[in-house]
Amino acid sequence: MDRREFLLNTAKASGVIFPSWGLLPLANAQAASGKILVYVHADGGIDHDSWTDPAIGMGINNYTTAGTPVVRAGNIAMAPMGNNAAFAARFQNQLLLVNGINTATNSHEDGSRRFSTGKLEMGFAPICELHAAKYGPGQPVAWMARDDGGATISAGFVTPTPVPNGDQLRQLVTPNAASATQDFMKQSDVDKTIAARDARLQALKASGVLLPKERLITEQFIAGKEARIRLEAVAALIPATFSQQFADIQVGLIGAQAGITAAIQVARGGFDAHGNIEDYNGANGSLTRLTNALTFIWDEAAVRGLTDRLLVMVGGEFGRTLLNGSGGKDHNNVGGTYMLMLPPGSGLANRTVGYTGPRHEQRTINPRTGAPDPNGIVLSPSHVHQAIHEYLGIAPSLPSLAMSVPAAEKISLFSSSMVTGHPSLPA
Amino acid sequence: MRGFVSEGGAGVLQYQPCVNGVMSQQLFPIDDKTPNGSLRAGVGAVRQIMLHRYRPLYVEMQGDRGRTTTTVYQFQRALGTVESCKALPSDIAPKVRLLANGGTPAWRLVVTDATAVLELPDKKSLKLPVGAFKAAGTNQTSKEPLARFYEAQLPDGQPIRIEVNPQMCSDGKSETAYGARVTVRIEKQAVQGCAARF
Repeated sequence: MDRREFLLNTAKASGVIFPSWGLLPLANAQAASGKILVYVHADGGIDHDSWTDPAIGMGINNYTTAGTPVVRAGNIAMAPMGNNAAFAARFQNQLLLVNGINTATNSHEDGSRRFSTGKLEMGFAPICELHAAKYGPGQPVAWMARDDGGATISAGFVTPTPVPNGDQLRQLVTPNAASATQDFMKQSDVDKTIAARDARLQALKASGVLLPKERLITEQFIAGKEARIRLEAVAALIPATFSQQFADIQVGLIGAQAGITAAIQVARGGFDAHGNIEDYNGANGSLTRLTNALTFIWDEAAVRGLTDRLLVMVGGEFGRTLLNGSGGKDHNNVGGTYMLMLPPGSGLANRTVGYTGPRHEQRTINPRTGAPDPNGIVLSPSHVHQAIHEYLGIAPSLPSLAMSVPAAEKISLFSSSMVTGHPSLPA
Repeated sequence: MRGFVSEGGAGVLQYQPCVNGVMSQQLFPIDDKTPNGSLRAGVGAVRQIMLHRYRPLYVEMQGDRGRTTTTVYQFQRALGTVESCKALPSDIAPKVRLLANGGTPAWRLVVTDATAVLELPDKKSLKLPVGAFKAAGTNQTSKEPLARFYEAQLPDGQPIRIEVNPQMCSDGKSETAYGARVTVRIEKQAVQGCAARF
C-alpha cells in the first residue's frame, strides 16, 4: 500500500469528507487539460495606430508622417514600430485583432477595468476571475495576477493571488527552503518528522476507532497532505534559474502546468505616451518589451506542453489621439484594441475585426460578417467579452454579471468568416 | 508656486512644494480662493483620468505660502503626467505672462514683456502689439475673478479680440487642466483653448 492509498483508506475508515480538489491525484493535476487564459494588460493605454490599427497620413504618428509603409503579414497589418514586423511575421496565423473599440472613457482606471471586465460599471468580474472560477475552483492559485488594482478588482468569486517571484515560489512549495540554496532545517530532520507523522497516522488507523477530535485532526492532516502533493508537483517544475524579464509569466505558466492555476494576469507598461510616442519605439521601447513578453509566453508554453490550451488576450485602456503638440498622444475613447492569440492551427486567426476611419474616426461594422456597415454597431469591450465568454464557456449565470449585449449585437468573433480587415489602408 | 497637491482629511487640499528637486515633507493646507473654484475643479478633472490617480498631483498656481498654510488665488495648470519634483516641466519660460493654446486645429498665443505672437492653425504666425496685453500675468489680474478682454489690431488692420475667462479648462484627454478658458476672435472666426499663464 502506498502513502496515497493509505491516506484514502484512513479517510474512508474515519468518515472524513475530502475537499473536492483534495481527491485529485497528482497525475491528474499534471495532466490538466482545460484552457489557460493569459491576460496581458498594456498598462497606460496602448496607442492603436502604433500597434494593430496602423494608419497613413500626416500628423497621425511619426511613421505616418514619414511615409513608412505599414507592416503586412498575411491578413494582418501592424504599425512599423518596435519589433512589430518580426512579431507579425511569426504569429500571423495565431493573431485575431479587434480594432475600433469605443471604451466610453478616457480614464486610465476606468479603461483598464473596462478592458479586463468588459463593463464600465463597477462590480463585474475580470475575465481572468470568471475563467478561474469556472476552470480552477479549489485550485490553490486559480487566478495568478500581477496587474494594477483597477484591472483586478474581484467580484467575489476568486481572489487574485499576487504572482510570487521565482524565489518566493520556491519557498512556497518547499517550506524548508530559506533561499535557492539554503534550508531552514536539515532536510534529513524534516524527513524524519514527516516519517513520524506518517507512523502516527498508521497507528491511528490501526486503532480502528477515531474520536470526533481525532477525526477532525485526521481530516485536516489529509487535506494538508494533498495540498503538499500538489505543491510538490509545482516544485518538480521549477527551473534552476528563472527568466529575468519574464519571471511573472514563467511562474504563472508553471502554476498552470502543475494544475494549480487556470488564469494568469500580467501587465507591461510604458504606454501612456503623452510626451513622446517614440518612447514606444526601438529595441528597448515599450512595444518591443510587450512583443517580447508575448513571444516568451508562447515559447515557454511550448516547453511546458501548454500551447494547445492557451488563449492570450492583450487589452489596453482606450484609444489615443493623433499626435499632440509635444509629439505624444493623448487619451481617446475611440480606437481601443484587443489582440487575441490563439494556438497554432486553430483556423480562427489571421483576421482583423473592427476598424477606424482614415484619421481614426469611429466606424461601425456588421456584427455577423464584420464588414463595414453604416447601420452596424460600434464595437465595445462588452461585445468582445461576450464573445470570449461564449468561446471559453465562462459566461456568468447571474444576469447581473452578464455583459447584456442584445442578441442582434452579438458578434461572431470566433467564426473564421467574420472579417473586417483594414479598410482604411490602401489595398 | 510649483509642487504637488493631494486631498487630505475632509477633502482639504494640501500642498507640498518642490524644493531643490525634492518634495517637501511638510503639508500646507490650501485656502482655495481661485475664481469659480478652478483649483479644485482642475485637480478633480485630471485625477479622474490620470494614471495612478491617488498619488499627489503636480500643480502650478499663484498665491501666498505662509508658515503653515497656503492661500491660492490663481490656478494655472495641473499635469497628471509629472511624477516627481526631479522632473518638473520646463516648457514655459519664466518671462511668459500669457500663454494659451488649443487643438484641432492647433493654435497658440505667447505673450512676454517684449513680444506677443499668435500662431494660427494655417501656420500663420502673427505679431501683436505687446502694449495690448499690459495687464496680463500681473499680481492684480491673478486675483481677478472676472473675464477680461484684450483687443488689438493685426498688421493688416483686422481687429482681434482675446477673451480670458478664469475657470477650469481641460480637454479630458491630455491629463492636464488649465486655469482659464480662452477665445480668440478675428472677425467672425473664433478659436477656443485654455491658458496656463494669464
